[in-house]
Amino acid sequence: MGVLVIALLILSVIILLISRRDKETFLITFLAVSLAEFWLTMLIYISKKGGFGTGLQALLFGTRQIRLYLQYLIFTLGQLGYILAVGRYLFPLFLMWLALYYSKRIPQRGKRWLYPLAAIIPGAALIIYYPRIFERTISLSTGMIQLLVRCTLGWIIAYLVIALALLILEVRETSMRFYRRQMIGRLMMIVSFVILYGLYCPQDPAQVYLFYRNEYMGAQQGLWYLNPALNQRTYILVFVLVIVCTGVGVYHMFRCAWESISEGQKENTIRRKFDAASKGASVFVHSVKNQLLANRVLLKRMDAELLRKEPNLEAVREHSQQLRKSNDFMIERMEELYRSIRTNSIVLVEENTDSVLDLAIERMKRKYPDAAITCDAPEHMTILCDKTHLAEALYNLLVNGWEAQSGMEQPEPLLLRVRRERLWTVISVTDHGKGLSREQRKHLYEPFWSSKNTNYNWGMGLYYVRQIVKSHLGLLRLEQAPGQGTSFIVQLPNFQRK
Amino acid sequence: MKKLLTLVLAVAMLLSIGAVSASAEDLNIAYMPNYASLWSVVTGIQMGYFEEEGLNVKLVEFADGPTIIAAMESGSIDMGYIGPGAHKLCINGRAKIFMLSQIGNADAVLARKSRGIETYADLKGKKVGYSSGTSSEMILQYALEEAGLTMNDIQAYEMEVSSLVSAMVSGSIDACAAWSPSTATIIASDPDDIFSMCSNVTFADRSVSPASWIVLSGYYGDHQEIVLRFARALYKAMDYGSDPANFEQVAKWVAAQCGVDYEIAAAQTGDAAWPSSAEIIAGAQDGTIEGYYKVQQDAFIASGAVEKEVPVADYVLFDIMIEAGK
Repeated sequence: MGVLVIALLILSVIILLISRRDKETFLITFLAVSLAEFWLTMLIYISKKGGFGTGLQALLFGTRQIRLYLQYLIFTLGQLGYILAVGRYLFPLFLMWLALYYSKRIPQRGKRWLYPLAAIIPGAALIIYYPRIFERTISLSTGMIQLLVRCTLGWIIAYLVIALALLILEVRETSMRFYRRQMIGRLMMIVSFVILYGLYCPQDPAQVYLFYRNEYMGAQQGLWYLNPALNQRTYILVFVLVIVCTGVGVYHMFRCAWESISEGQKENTIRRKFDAASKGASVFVHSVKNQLLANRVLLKRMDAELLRKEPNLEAVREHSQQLRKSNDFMIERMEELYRSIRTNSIVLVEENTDSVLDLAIERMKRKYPDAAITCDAPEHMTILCDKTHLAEALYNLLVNGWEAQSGMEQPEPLLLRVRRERLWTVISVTDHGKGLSREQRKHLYEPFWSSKNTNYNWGMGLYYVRQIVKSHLGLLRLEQAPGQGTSFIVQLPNFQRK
Repeated sequence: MKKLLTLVLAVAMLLSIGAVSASAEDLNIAYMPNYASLWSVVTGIQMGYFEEEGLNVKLVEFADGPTIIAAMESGSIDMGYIGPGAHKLCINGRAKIFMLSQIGNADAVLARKSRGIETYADLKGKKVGYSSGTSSEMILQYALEEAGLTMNDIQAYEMEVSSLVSAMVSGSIDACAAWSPSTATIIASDPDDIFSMCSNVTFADRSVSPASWIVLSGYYGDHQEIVLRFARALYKAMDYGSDPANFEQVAKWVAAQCGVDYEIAAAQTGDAAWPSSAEIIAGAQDGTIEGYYKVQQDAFIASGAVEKEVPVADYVLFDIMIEAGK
């Protein structure tokens, strides 16, 4: 179970690190890793020294094989003692840093110098406890070892108490329920870490360095891990506490990370929508402004003509017609845009495909009277659709197709074809233009994206078509092949009246 | 009336059973996983000698003697077995010896020929592992003294015994001082290269290596009767275990207790001359045993492990050795 708890600590921080990488996670990772290192070294030391029955062996190591593996690891007493010292002195430091991080009472400016200040004592301890330096230090006087052991334990306890006090204070002062719950979860985990650490916290590395020496034995320091209070029941209690509390803490942190990710995604969506709206507004304003500027020119010409003694009414009439045409065009574009974005309600009813195609072709002919369209559709084929919206979508595809052939001397007729394909009713619009590049295909369905003149095309066509097709529970696909033209394919679910 | 009498008798029987179980004393006894430490105590358990004395013995394994003394001081162990090295702690007043276990020959200095070590002088500058405070340190010091060297002349690596085994087997160190059965394990790993430079017998002129059963002064003051009963059971076990005809059986028990193969335990039956109760009682009475401990103390003083001479009777309870034999 002891080995299991160490594995759990490591696993927890790995999960945390995968889900989030912020200052808090790193501090908790450092805390958990220093604790795991401290405990693992203790287990190695205990495995080497013995003094436990089969019950404790099972509890601490799991199996005899694990115990033997740890027991026969090669360490000099100096190495083992210093590894123990590293975990022992870093844990209170990381705990203090974490408490400082959480504390809202201490101003940010104060924290800036408290972080390095807190590291001074543990840093000094790590230097003094380096085996060679330690031996020289204790040789200075007979009472030095006692002094070091007591002072070290003193600052460790002080760090633990101050850090825990800061954390408890933080929980007490957090009034918002959500954040309070989050903090309690973290506090539970941290307190369980401290309890686990506390089991061997009085284990001075001098015990490992000097256990066999007269200096140590003479000071009657004994072996802390042989403390009878550390019986099977105590171990079980602490291990269960750590497993439960670490689970709760990690769950809270993981949930917090997940919420943060969801919030981020929501934020991205809103940002995208804002970007699209912003782009749309920009295209719209630009286009309308150009039209209005052109109209101003026409108005100026008309004014100039009318200021003459004998105005050329024919010219005025011509300008007026141009002005009306421009005005009509602007109204038409606005209506199109309005239709494109106003797709809130779709009413699906049984419709004959002929009537939908006819409506689309009628609209197309109004816009491009010269457009040639070949229609290949079986008669009396029914689909479930919103006739107006679907016809509008097909009209958009026809317009795109025709405009794609605009540069050609003799444009080929567009092919509007309807057929049944397995579970789908497929309506395709094929043109023989130059096709779409990879880059164009990438942005094809984005709102307000257009490869054409933005004064006359606001890039809402295919976005709108896709929305309409999706509303019909269908799919919109693009197929293009050399010599076979470019086809936009609308797949709608087959409809059969039973 | 008959029914009442039957009831009274039944209650009396139950009470007497309870009284018997209440008198059985639970003892936590510390040992090291080797034949020398277990030969008598495991026999006492298996043959029921402790049970006969009303003692319920629970064995707890430790790596070495100093750790056993620390465990006794922490209160988790009542009595324990120590090897020769830890006796300095008894001389320094940390524990009292109430029974001699045996005079051992289990310690050895092992070296690798491939690292250019053939004589004690070759140890100079070499990486040598040892367990400080134990008989491992003592025998290493004797070996170095033979060549006029000190611990400062070698690259000394302080380790506990299991690390010594791993380090020596893996070739991380050139030589080491250890005790049986670790010595046998190390040699068996590479018998062509690793050899034993010396053992306790080599230095018999300057020291003996007694191993003993010990108790803390406080515990002895409060539980003198229990210590006596334990010593009595040990005597019976020694009488069984010292008979060469029973070596095989004792080795099987030791192997089972240590979780090792029988052959490993059986190989250790030559690590000492296993004494009978009569030999110990006689030795305690005629001063032979006191002589052993005196020589050992002198060796400790000479090496600096013990500062001043202490009367052997201050830390060896000869009374128990004699009384338990009665």
